[in-house]
Amino acid sequence: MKKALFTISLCIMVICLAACGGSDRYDLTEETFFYGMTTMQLYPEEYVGKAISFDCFTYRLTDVAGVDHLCGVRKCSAGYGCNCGKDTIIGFILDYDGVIPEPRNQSEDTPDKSWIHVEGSVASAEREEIVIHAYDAAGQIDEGKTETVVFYHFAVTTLTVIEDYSGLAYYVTK
Amino acid sequence: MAKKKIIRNNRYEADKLRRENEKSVCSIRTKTRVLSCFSLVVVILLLLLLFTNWAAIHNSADDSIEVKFTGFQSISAGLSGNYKSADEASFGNLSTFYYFVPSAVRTLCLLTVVTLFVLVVQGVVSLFAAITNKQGAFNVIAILLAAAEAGLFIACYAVARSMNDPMVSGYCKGNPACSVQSTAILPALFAILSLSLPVLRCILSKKAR
Repeated sequence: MKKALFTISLCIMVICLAACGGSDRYDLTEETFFYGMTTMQLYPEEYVGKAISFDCFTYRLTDVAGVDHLCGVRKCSAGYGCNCGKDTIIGFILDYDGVIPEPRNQSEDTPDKSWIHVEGSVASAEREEIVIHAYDAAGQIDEGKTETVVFYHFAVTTLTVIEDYSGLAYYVTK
Repeated sequence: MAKKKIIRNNRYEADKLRRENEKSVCSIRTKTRVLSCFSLVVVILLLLLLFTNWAAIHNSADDSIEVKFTGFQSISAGLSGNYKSADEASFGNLSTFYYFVPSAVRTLCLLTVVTLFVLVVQGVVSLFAAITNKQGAFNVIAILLAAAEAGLFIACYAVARSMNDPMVSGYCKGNPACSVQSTAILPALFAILSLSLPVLRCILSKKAR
């Protein structure tokens, strides 16, 4: 009887402890990258100042005025903001004092890109709206049309070039 | 002589009747104990069903689940008040739902926490009933708790389903292949069925009296 009551109480305690366990550090892995990144885009204010690390490839986003934004991203198709049957990218604009490797094959369907491992935190919850030329159905830039993409800034503290990216997916899904 | 024989026969009959009565009461008490054990098993089963998808976006186009969270994950969020976490193991994809339907998610989490509390109380009551085999008040409490569980599970299902329209228009951008599904209906059905156990115990214990 006492044993049974003790077991039940223990189960409730374990559930409560598991529920209350919050983290201030987010190391995104291959399994957690897409959802982790999606959540950070939905609630950037929750991740400002939190230690975050992830692997990504560099991507140059040029707006209609010709201004470049160097980002750390992965390509995706499913999930929030990406579920229209249209490929897009998910990640951050990188704010870094050092040198960010130049993007390589950024729009090609190949894993042969400039891969980096970054550590830092979301710089601010302020949205950066970038107006870019839209792509047509054939995947070509349509100069006549524009679309707005929203990105947040990521303050990079350390950046490491990844030489062996064989285990990393440039295209992520849920 | 004849009078003595009649008295002896009557005593024998009374003893026989008492023995039969005791045997019948004993059998009923065994049955009520077994039913109490069944109630405990049902509570464990209902707890296990909290691991199923409390709310999930099903995409019929490729028969896949887009985002989801379980009953226990909504309990985690309800107890911690953390609805925006990226921790998939503890909270599933609850943060995505919260972005589009915050009030429904909070209601669902609260309802699930209350359901867990009722289930734990039901488990303790069933355990006491199984150990002590005392019926009476335990049966009335068990009936009330089972009815509350059924009601709460149905409410969970209704709240989960109410997320359908805002999630389809928001998350799925109006994709008609998307819909919000919930398995909370399964424990609701089990809870309704489990109502029969305390009712049966109640009838049997009245018989034993």
